Amino acid sequence: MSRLSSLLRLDAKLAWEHKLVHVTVVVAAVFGALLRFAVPAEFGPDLGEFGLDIEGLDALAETTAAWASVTVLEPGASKPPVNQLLVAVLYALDLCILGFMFGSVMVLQDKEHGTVRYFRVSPGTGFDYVASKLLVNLGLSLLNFTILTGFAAPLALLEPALWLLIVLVCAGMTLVGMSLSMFLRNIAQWFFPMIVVSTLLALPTYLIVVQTPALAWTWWLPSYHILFGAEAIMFEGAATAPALAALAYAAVFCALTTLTCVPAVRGRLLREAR
Amino acid sequence: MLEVDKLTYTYRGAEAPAVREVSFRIETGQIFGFLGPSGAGKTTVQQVMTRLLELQGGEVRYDQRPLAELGRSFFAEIGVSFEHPNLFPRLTGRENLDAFMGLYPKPHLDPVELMERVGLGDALDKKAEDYSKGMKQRLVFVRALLHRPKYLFFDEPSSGLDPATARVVMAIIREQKQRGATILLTTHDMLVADKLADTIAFLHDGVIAASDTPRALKLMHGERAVRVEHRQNGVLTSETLFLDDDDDREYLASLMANGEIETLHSQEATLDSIFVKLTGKELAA
Repeated sequence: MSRLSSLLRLDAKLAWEHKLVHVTVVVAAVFGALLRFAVPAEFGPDLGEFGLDIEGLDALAETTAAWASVTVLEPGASKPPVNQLLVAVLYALDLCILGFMFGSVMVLQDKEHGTVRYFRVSPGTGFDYVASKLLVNLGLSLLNFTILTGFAAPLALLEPALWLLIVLVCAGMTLVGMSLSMFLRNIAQWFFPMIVVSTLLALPTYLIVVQTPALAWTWWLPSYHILFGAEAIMFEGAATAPALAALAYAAVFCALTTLTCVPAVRGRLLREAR
Repeated sequence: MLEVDKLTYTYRGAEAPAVREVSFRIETGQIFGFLGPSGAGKTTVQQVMTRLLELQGGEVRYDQRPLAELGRSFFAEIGVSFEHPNLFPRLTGRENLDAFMGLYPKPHLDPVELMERVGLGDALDKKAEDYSKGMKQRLVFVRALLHRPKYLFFDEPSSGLDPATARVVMAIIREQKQRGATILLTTHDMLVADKLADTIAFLHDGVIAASDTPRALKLMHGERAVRVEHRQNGVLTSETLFLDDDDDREYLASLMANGEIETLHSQEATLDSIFVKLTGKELAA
């Protein structure tokens, strides 16, 4: 326990010194303030000015009515405010990607400074190493979540299921970032994989605008579940099927990434030669 | 006691082993000096012994315990001072020392006292990125000592240090020996090895070329001779006289009796010259 608390203090200090805390606070505050003060709750009745062809959609509905039936699931449902809907989008983009990036950067910095070499000849274990970085990163993610949500949708902070979803997905993304960095030497090598992962994580947000089956596979991505899970928790309730599915996915994702990351750290980063 | 038996290591992709069948033994409380030029395999041996590299061939035993059977707690028994300082550049010297102290069982030595001894007392709260190479080297040296390890590994501990600080570092290494630590010192500085090591091994191209106490090596490979400068008819003359030669001994005695000698130097071999004699290469290469 003393080993873990010692590493925890160290990683927290490094997060502060490398300005990860500052970046988290600024990014969350800027996005939160934008949603709160600059983005309207509704885009107005004339959606056509935002590029949507309403008349075309009506015409399509009339032609398809001949061969397809349309069921309205929740006739009385109101549209969620756009600025609050975008909070869930930012969870997918900002929280997911920052968790991944910070997890990678923490390990790559240890590699570049050679400090991981010193750790290898100390009694510290792979579990200590992963746990301390994970906890610090979770702290940053929750700080980000609190500030962003506090600005844009403060009432959502009262929803425990949302906290749980954020913790599970951010923990999983941190572990993915750490696992990936085991196979890379430095931040220069990491740059291209980072672009690929970030782009992939951003894809489910496209589904908010266009519901296309071509992106159905994005269901496998954690950003999909943080996006639609958060949306479900915030606007439909934590006990609904989409919210529970997202929480279940997040729990499995977190468990799988833990099972992958700890052995990767032991077997690759801290490999003890015997 | 630390035993290394026929240690062999080949780096991936290399055609020849970096070290071949290296064997030596360090008694408890002794300093063993590994002397050799860069690339001789000194650091490779040390890295295998500290489990940074895999033990591919041979055996390493710590107090009769095979390296392969030692658990993670083994790392609490060793202290390693790396040649290339590995520090957190954004943290201060004090924070760097505190960072890993919690990983080791107590009691720890007082870091402030040690830092002051190596001349870093004023730099304790300075960031490591602002340290010079020599300061970083000293910080890494201090870090290796704090948990009072049973086995110490020093890789080029005097590298980049001014003579006065190098003397302090050597004094601290001697103190570690006195408290009972078993020490492996790898260096290409023959003066450091000569002053500190109880036993020395010359490592050349991954093979031990010779191993013994510094005195025994000097006697074995040196000449029992003295170089004398004296005045002969007012002219300064320099001569080498061999102590095993009766005539030279008699001549030397006469020079001493007449008080004609201006300077007198023993011609014992240096570790440097022995290494050149054995391997045909310079130590500092």
